[in-house]
Amino acid sequence: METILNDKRAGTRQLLPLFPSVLLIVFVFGSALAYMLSTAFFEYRPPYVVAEFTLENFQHFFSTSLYLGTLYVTLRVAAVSSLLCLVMGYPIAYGLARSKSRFERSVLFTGVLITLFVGIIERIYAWILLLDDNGIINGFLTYLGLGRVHLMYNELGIVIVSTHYLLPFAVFTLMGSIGSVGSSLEEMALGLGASRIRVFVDITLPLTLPGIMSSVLLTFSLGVSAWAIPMMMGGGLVWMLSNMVYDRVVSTGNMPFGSAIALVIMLVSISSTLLLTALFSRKIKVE
Amino acid sequence: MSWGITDRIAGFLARAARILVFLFMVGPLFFVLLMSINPQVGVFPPHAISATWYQFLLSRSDFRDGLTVSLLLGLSVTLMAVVIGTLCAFPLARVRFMGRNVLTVIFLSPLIVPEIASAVALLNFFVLIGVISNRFESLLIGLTIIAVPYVIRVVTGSLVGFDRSLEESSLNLGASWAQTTMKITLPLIRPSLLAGALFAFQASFTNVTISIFLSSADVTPLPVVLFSWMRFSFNPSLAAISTLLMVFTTGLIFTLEKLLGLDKLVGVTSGFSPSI
Repeated sequence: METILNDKRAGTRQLLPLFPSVLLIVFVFGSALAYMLSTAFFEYRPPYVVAEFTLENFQHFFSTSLYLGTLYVTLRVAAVSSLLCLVMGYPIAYGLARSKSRFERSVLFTGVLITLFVGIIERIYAWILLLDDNGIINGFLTYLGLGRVHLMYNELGIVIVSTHYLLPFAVFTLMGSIGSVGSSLEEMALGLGASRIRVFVDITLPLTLPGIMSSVLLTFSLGVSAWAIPMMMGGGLVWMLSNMVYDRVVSTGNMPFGSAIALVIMLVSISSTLLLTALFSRKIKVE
Repeated sequence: MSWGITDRIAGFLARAARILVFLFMVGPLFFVLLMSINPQVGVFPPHAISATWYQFLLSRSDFRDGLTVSLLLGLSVTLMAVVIGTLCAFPLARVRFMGRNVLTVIFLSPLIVPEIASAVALLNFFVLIGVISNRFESLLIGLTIIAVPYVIRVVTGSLVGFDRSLEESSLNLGASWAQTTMKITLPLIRPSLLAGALFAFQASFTNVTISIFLSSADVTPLPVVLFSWMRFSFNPSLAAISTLLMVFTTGLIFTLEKLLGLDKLVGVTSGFSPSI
């Protein structure tokens, strides 16, 4: 009993329960990622993958305007979506952190949680119903006698649905930040006669700057790897990097090049996460 | 404190922004519900109500097969993820050992690595080691990797704030370690175990990206079936199944909220990243 409860030194027996997860995540998942990393440096001689070291895949990626253009579109869509998430998420987060009405908070919360949990199929289907050329919005515009607007099969459509997907992450990050600032400073400034706008601009906004940065970096890192959203909302006319990965791997079987693009996505996404960690030393931890 | 006119306008604008963003979040989903009971495709607002698309859905064999595969897969993934995740949560929460923080980050890494990269890596690796010919097993392993981190997060969280005096009393009174675990510890963390199970099920049942890379024509999980409907034939029974899935999701949220409480749920979900 003593050894079980009080001895905090690691005995092999106590660490044994880690074994299945080490096997699954360190061994299987880790090996899979390591093998993808090496495959990105393999040669592809259709239809075979040859295990010989080459930089050809990366050289090809960074010297072809098609891929550089797609990289640019990917970065732009993720950046615009994460800025939109910031602008749209802030009022919701502020309401959640500060609203005195319990009812308002629980309604907002439920909305954010539904937006977070709703599956990608339902999400995309809902937006297609609205944004399609013959969709509900265009039907309404035609009814009003206005012309049709192209809302999907372009970057706009991808940005709209990406923003819808990423918004809850922005709200949670911002809410934590606004909540931790506390309302006492704001109340003091109000008591001293400052206007609401000045309190917000001079106190709340600067103090929540770390939260703002975290929100943008987090949503950006998630946004660059979007796959289903650009596939459906881009309709083959607008591509993001993930769509190229799928196309190269599934249609042509070019695993080395697909792996190379996947690595580029991973690099962009993870460097954004690392920047976040470095800036705020907000370690990824359990609770 | 008297409010100046500009403050009033600012307050009004903030409230208006909140309402608009709220509508942006949940509004589109209501149209899915409306369309699912609308018998006429492309007519909006609906002139009549019917269950046509729900009936049509049930008549599709690819839907029934996909649902069967996804349910089997989801339950197997849940079982594996809960067992593996709970086992590993105990040492992570209770034993001090070298490299514990690094290992924690590694265990949660399937949530940080972009899913498209995980999907390609797993496909590539399963082809290498020859597992890929067993599609169901491939999907089971792949989706369990995605589901385990949620269980680890939820269960470790409940073990960190765990009052261990009850366990001590049980052991003092002569119960064995196994009896104490089964009769005291596990029942006390049951809400977290259930929540972890729900997260795991949701993560596997709705997964699109990894499912598409690892599935085949014989073993096709539901999200893959629905995704190909959406890509190749804009089938209106998508509205019906989407509505059903949304009802399921809403139920899930309320159950999770009951089990964990709102604050903890938010803590866990801030690391939740369903596939896009």
